[in-house]
Amino acid sequence: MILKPIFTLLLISVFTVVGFSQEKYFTKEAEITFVSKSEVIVIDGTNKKSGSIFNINTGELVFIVIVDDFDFHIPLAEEHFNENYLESEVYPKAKFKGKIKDYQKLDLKKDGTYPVIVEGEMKIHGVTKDVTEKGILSIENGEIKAESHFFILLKDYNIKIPSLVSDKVNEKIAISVSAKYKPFNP
Amino acid sequence: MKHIIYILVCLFFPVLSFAQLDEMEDLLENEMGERTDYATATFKSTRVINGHSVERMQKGDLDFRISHRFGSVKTGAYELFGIDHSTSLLSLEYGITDWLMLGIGRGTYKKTFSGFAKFSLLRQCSGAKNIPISASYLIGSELNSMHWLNPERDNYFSSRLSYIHQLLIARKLNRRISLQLSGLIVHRNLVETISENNDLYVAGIAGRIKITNRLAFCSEYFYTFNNASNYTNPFSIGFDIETGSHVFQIHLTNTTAMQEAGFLGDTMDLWSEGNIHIGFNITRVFTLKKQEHDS
Repeated sequence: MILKPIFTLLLISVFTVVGFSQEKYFTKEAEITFVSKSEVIVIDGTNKKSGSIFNINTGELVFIVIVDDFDFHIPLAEEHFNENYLESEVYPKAKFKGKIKDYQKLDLKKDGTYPVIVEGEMKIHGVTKDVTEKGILSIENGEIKAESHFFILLKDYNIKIPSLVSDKVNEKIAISVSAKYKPFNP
Repeated sequence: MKHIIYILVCLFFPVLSFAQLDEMEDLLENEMGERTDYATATFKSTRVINGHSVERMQKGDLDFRISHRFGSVKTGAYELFGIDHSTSLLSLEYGITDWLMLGIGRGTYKKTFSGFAKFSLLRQCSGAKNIPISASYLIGSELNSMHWLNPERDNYFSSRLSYIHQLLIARKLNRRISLQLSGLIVHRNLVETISENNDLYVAGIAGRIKITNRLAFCSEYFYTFNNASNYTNPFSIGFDIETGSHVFQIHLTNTTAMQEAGFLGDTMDLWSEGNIHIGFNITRVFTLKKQEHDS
């Protein structure tokens, strides 16, 4: 009798593969901002051209961020960010691949906001790390919005600040992610 | 039987869900399309050593530069290898737009005031848009403010002036190596002797090799086609050391002037005779106007 659930499971997994092209939501204008704030200097950058895709059947989501697309208030900070810290010529993209935990328990048919936990792999500066962060999923008139605020540590992604400037830049970086999805029509 | 199916399912299910994430990733990559990547920081500073690099100050950034060239290292320990004597250049340079920078300076060599404008003509990029080189054009003038050499004769203010035109073409070959070629015309309204030409034609070659993210080896050479025979061509080697908003450029060179009419027209020292000078440029960038981004 154990076969029955397994059969169902297999069916579901096959079904999702076949059927999921209609169930994808997508944006090319997800907004990622980061702030490193110390007593001496505030360095912040905004990227409004990040891509994200979200499967509303499975709760899986992918983000792709072009590192070079961050805009800064301080032009020199942008050059250093790309040249020395993120090394965007070597590692042009940052990525997140993961899924919403216990997604099947969520009922997203009604408008509203749903606190979620997202698990997956974050790849920055060529270093992949498993992460679990809190986020908010909101549904309004059929539009899906995903938001998350979290911190990363530069040393987790092998980004080194030289001793000469280390007192100026905060190692702990606050990151905000905001994506408004539309149905994906290939 | 049961076990085999179990194992199969356990093997299959994660593979399937991973494949799905990868598929989503590929789809997203496709949707985001090809983009244009601009080459950044072909050189670390707006000067390679003495001469200009293809780089410009970005909009709203002010560069305060302090440069020194010391006496000949040949003078030995008594003169601390030339450090007891120095010439200097102080300058302020500002990015008006992302394609135009202006600069003013005052050098001790011939008490020269200088001003220039540098235009970014092309920016090297690849991807959707493809431009293999960066190019800049520089126009400058210099004013020699020394007392007249022959006060008894008729002296005109215009005799104090020189003009510089320079076309710079550079390519960042990869993330470590950049090369630059340039052509210059230096017009001096008045030269000291009849054997000197008012117009100097000069070709320059410069390069940079990054050793680490913040340390680079640089070199530059200028060949003067038609200068009088007692003058020599400036050749310099040095290191760029970057620490946040400062760049320290430390070098060895056979010239002590740092403005074009000086180091291209008046250099007389030779490396082969050991007349080498230690020098440095310190640049400090201040962001005067923060960039506005619509939010």
